[in-house]
Amino acid sequence: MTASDPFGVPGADWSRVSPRLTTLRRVLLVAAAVVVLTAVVAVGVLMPSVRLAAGAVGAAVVAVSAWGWWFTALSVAAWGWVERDQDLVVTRGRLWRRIDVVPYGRMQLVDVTAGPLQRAFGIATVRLHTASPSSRAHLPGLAPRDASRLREQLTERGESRAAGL
Amino acid sequence: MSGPADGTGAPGSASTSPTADEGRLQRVHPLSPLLRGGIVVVAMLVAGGRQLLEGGTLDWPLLGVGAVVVAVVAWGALSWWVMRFRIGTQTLLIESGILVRRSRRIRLDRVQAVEVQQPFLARLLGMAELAIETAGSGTEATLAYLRVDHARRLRAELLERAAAAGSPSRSGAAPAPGSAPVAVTDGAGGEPGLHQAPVDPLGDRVVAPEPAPELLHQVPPGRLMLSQLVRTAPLVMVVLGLVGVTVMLALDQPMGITVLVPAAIAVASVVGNGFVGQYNFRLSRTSQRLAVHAGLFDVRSQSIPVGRIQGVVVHEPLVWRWLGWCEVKVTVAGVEQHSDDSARLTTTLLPVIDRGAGVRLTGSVLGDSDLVGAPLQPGPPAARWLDPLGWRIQAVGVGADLLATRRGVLDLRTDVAPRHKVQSVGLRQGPVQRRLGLATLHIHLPPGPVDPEARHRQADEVWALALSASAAVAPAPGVPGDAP
Repeated sequence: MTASDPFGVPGADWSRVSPRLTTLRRVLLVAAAVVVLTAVVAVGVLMPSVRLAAGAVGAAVVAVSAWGWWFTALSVAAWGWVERDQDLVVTRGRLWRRIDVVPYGRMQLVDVTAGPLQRAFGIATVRLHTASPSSRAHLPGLAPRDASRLREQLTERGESRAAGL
Repeated sequence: MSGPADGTGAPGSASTSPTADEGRLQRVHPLSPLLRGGIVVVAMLVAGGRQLLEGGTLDWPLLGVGAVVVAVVAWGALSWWVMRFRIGTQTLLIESGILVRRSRRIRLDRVQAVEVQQPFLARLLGMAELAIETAGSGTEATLAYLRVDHARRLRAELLERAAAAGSPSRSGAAPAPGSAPVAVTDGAGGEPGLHQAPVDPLGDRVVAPEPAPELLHQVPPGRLMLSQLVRTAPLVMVVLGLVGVTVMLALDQPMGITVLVPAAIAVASVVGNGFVGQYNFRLSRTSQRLAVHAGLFDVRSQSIPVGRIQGVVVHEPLVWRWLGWCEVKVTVAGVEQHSDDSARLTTTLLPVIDRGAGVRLTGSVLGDSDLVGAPLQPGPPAARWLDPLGWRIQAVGVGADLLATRRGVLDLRTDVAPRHKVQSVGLRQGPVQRRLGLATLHIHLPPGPVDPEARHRQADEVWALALSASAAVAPAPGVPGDAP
């Protein structure tokens, strides 16, 4: 990865988020696709005049879902983070890549959240807050153990390097 | 005043008694309730008086109104009586409330700024209110109303104690309470009745009145008016309006001009707001603070601790560039940006000034950091595909302790942030940018007008910049030898 990555961190590799996030997102994707397809099929059965259009829409939904199935893995794999000496580097996004560099001394608050669905899949989200509303670095899809370890570590480093406003 | 002077004992040193609250309980000026509910009461009295004079009798409804007025006045007087405050070494205590007692303690080390404000009515009576700003919550408390010189003295005292209560580790400008000369009491001669004694109740330290501020810049009204007129937005409106008028006249439809009236009023109000709000703008400084005074009707007096400035933005609208003018705004920690012009707190440091003078002044204000010291690097030619107009203009400068970006086709803006104030750094790269080897850089600062951003820069350049950003935040305890 680092070989072709223009944004490689020297001397470190990106830590990646759990593949369970892929599973979670694919489940959501399939659920949505099933709902839409059911509606389309119902329309096609009940209204024979638009059967052709319904078929086209159904095919499109299937195609988009298939692409989404494939792309989810890529997009989840694009999440990554590196804990450096002074800061945390978070990257995300496949097509539109985004990288945030947050110095430990700037972190006002680190929180871990896990919704019911996330808990069912055994993952959690870590969020970093600084005094700037524009820095919205977060990491979804961490194993709860990793998430709390990261939070502890970030908080500790933040305290030892705290810088006032 | 007649407040009980309790709690003056406690001879412990300030550092060992964080909860100590030495100091007298004071009240705000007795005219305060009148000013607060003022206009209503005055109007009612006038109405009553007129009727009494004209008709010679008072009818029942009016007597009812009179009773209400008496009740309001009594309530106001009572709430004035129970509202007391005390400036301690560590906290500002404010007690208020008739039925529900309220007692607030504001930690002085949290105080970001103290402002003397003069709403129009208060100004007529020589009164002012004192607004205390703290980090995060904006205006935490208001002491209204006080005589102007009393308010100024209280502000000086609060600020000085806030500086003393704040951590001594705050770097930047050297903390100067010790070096401040024991200044002479300020011009008014002092009022023994209201607030005397520049002596700290602890007795170990003389509270020096704020040294006479040095006037840095004053904006002449003529230039202010012109500058507000030739900002890009009103100017475009005016030009469009003139075109409209010409067309109407050419078509021999003079009545059609009335359509433009609302637009003209809108433009006039924008320009007028700028003029009224920034009238007689004066920027002055004491050792660690900048003071801004401005306003035609409501005179604003705001104090900005230099150390809390998070960044500076220099605006140069199109016409201003020909005139060689600029506007300087700052982001200050704890001062949220307000959308409307009626905001009490301003982010404007200089509404209009010659560019060279503005840059020099801002640089000297920011602790001698050389604002132009960061040589601005133009963007790569590849950026022309994404930003054909702006790519030549936009630039990034990396100085020893400053980061600067410049952008804007019509209105040029230069955002400068001290490196040690940067909250975080973000990079974006879209698919087209990836093909061209470009990326966009964002410097994240606390909320405010300053927003450094550089679009379509060389990817490796901004990446190196981002990776080096945190070094300035906290000096490394050792060599960053990262173990594999």
